[in-house]
Amino acid sequence: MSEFVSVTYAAGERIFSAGDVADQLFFIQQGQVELLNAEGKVFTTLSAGESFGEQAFLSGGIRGASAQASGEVTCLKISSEQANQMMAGTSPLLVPVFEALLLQLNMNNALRAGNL
Amino acid sequence: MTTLSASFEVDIAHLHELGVIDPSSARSLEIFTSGQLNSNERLYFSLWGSKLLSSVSFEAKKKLFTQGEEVSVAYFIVSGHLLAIQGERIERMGPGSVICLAEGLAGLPSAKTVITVNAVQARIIPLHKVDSFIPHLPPALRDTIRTNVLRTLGVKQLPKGVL
Repeated sequence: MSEFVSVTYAAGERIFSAGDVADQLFFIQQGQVELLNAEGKVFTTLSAGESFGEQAFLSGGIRGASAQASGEVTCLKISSEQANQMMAGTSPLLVPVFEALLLQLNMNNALRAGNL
Repeated sequence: MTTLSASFEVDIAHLHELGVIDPSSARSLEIFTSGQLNSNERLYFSLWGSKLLSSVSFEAKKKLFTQGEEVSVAYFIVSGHLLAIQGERIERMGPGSVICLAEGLAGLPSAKTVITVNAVQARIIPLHKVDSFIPHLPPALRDTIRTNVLRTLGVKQLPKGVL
């Protein structure tokens, strides 16, 4: 993944906010990233080797959560354009599978939070 | 006494209020591209209209999954409601719910028994087809799917050799 841009965020820095247009996907190389729900409550913490911001794979995707650096964190950043290039030539089923997986993730987060 | 622990559904009434009444009308597509839908509504709309997923209907009180059994198919729920039961915990799932996709991709059994409450319309996600193309995806795409499966299941590791 050497063709992607590496970027470092300071502790507490906001990487993106819920409602933003999703135009970049991130892979954590070093450090931790917190994902926050609409109320600003941290619902998961991600570490090196994990990705976030997958809405960037979908045309016109909107951020469903916010992300901020837990401490100093370094990520590889992949643009929507690069993501679309990667998806070109793969099975057309990949898009609905991604969409469904993101929806199941959102569903499970809501169910774990005990939403009624 | 067992009580409902949690529930999830996309707000279909809100979609209807906006004018989204079917996935392929010009008005619906205009609203989809206008930015008026939230993240889950957009995902629902896109999957609802997907021509790549076939449809299936279930009658009320039909058991779709049994806790501990192997998963060979996953569903996206278009309409209707279901209950997911895991021990004392009962969850209600409605339109927009996705059932057993992450479990199927991870090669894990269903964590819950899932039963329809009323008539349910769903789209079928054919896991055997998905399993056949995942090994050939670019590493970044495979890693992204893997991360999402881990986060969806709330686990840190998957069985060896999976994803």
